[in-house]
Amino acid sequence: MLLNPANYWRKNKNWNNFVGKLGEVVFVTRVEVTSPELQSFLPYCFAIVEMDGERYEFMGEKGIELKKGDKVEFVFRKVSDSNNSSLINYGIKLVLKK
Amino acid sequence: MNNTSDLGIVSYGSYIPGNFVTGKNIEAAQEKFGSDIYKSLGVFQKSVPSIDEDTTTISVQSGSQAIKRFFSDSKSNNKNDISCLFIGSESHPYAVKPTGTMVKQALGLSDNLSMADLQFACKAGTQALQICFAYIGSGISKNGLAIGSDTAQSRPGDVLEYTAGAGSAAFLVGTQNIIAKLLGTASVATDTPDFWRRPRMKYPEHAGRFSGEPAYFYHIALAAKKIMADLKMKPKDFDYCVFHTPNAKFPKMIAKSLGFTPEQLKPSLVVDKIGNVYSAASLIALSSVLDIATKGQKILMVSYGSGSGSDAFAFETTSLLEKKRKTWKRFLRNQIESMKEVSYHTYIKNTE
Amino acid sequence: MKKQTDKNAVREIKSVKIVGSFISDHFGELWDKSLNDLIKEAVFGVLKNVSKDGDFDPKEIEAVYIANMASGIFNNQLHLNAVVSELFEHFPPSIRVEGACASGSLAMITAQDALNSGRYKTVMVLGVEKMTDFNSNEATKVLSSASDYNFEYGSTFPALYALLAKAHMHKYGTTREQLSAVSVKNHAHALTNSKAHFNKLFTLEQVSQSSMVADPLRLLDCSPVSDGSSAVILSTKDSGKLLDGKTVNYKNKPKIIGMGHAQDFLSLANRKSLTSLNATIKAAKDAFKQAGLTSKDIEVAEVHDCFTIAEILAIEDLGFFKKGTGGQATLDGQTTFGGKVLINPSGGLKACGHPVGATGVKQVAYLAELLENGIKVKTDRSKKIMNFKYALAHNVGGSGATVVVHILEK
Repeated sequence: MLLNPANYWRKNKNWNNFVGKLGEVVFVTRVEVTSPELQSFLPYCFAIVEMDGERYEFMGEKGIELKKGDKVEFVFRKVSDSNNSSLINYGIKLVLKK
Repeated sequence: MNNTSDLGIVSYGSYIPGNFVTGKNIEAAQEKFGSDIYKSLGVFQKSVPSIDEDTTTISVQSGSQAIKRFFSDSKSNNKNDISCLFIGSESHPYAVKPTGTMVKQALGLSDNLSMADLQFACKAGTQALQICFAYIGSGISKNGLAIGSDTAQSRPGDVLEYTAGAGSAAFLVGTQNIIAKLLGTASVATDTPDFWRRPRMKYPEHAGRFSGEPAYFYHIALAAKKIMADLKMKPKDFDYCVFHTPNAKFPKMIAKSLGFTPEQLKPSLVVDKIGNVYSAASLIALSSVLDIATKGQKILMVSYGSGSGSDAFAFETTSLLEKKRKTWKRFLRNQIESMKEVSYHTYIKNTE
Repeated sequence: MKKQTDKNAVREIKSVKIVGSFISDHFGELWDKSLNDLIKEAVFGVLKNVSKDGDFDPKEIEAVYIANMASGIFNNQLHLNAVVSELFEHFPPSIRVEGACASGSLAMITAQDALNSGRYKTVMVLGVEKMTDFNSNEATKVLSSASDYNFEYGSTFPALYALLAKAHMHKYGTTREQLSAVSVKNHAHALTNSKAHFNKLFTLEQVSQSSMVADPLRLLDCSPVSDGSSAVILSTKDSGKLLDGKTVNYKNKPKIIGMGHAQDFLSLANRKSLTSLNATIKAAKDAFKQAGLTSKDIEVAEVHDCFTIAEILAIEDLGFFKKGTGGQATLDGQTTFGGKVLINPSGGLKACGHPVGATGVKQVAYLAELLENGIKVKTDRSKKIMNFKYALAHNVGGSGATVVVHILEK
């Protein structure tokens, strides 16, 4: 099983703490080699972001380039590939605030 | 139905993914050079979702905007008052497990929720809207959220490839602080096999020209005439009309045949830039109108869903619409303007 | 009485000698060696390395501590303590220790705690990892379990260190060339080490232009995925017995004179600093205090260069160079032969290889042998042997949440 249902269920409690909120990029790197279940998102940015004085770490939406200081919005996206039978892994990613 | 009580739209949100592929590139991929099919359809580009987007994520986007606008200046609004959520789509990611379950979680809605997914081809979104109105009107819910979303799939090489797009629209309804009052609603449904998809098939089948007269035109006309008869209204009594947009041609043709002018239709037409966004199409078109309408204007919306059926709605805008709009951002036109072109290859990869 | 209430009291440790050390031949992509093969090789290899006069008596080993990070996933094999214990006729009590990439040194600490308590007098510490059966993407996923898997979801190990590199470059102006200098130096050092995974020199340009992994870290900034094992025998006795009954005297064996073990937040987002590993600073402080030394006394060190930036952070946080100057110091040759302090003469994790569970043990094994025998250095005229009095081993778990520092004396 690609994604454990109990782990998914514990994680989804957190989603609405982020959806629609804004943050700022503290440091970011562009990932070009990654785990098997994230292959289709390559290359993606991975950043430390700050929101309300707290820091978090998230992937950027596929294809976007982020840099230090960018204002970002937390959005709801698929966070890994899935196959035809597994649960779909949703979570939080970053997009540039427009 | 004649609605005399205050029931209407409280806020709405729209979301079009940030990429598009051109009709010209699709034509090249289909190797139908010079056929100008996209020109005859009037759809020059269509929206393409990012690879990490699907019907669930775009529903969260539009729903999130609707809820943000819900709070924008009304301190009396409470997210927990949203106690019904209906999402219509042809591309729900699960055959069993409603899209609404993930959307509800991401939006932070209350666990006290009536919720189910709907499918009725391109009218699933408007059917969700009608159901929400029924929940509010009956007093079961104080506020309801209706979403129409699709990340449409089309067979490479098929004519539908020129138009099948992605988009989402969310409508928050209630009885207080309404920006557009529901004057009435009516629906029709028949067994008309113009477009269908069996469960294990990836792409739909469609019946060519049969989806014209006996399908799209017949049902929209039937529902439009019913609602206008119920409300004792004529086309000239409306400021705007909104019809389902499978392409840019059909809504113009039905508007004309029903007696509406091009000026009444024009503000609703964004299909040339985003394509047919299926279950979101009519709601997106309605959003386009609400983004510019002024107070006291009447809008007729009639959707169409293959298989077939139509939902008709009549709205009248209130003074609250313009007032609230002043505090809003990221209108449909802003999103469309910021779309970036991607290649046919990227479009195929993202919609696999 | 004062010592008991004094918060800064140095914990008294018995003199723990490293009486035997072994590194498997060699670290690398070892298709024909299984996990069990590597464990066997280390056990029997170190028993041979206590005395030139013959094999050590296995019955002298009262307990075995085996370090490994991910045999459950890489090899579907847990219960490693049983796997190693059954190699001895007398089945010594055995414990498996895991702390991501710091597993090896954590096993060393666990063993020393047992020796210091008097429970045992002679024990074996072994580290092993068999990880190359997985392809690099799969291995990336397994290694990412050293981070906070949920909180840092989507990160890879290179990505986390890349963020540290970005922070260091932003604050101190550390350059691409300085990062490359670490890799070039360690590959040059590995040519002196027959056990190294790599036997190849690189230029600064080749490192700087290797394919991108997580910007700014490129392929040649990253330590490889390697198989390997290493073992040491630790004892608080003055002598031991060989298989044939002869006695072997431990008086010339190297000793562990200081150790420090510190922790920090698992995820980068929670760290107070992104330009230092605070756990390194604290572990080094404790180790130096216990040994009664400072960084100035250390002439040679094996530090945890899982990525080039990690070595730069290490040599600063250990006190060898001022904060922010580690990159330039490396580029200037201050950390190679003839420089201020010799860093990673084995080739480090980068060129000697990084079988995760083995590294912490290998560092101590390598330095023990170095202190005993010196290292052959080619000069312009001839070969000479460099000898050292004190050595330091620095082992890190994850992106810096666990750090262990050992100080050895000849």
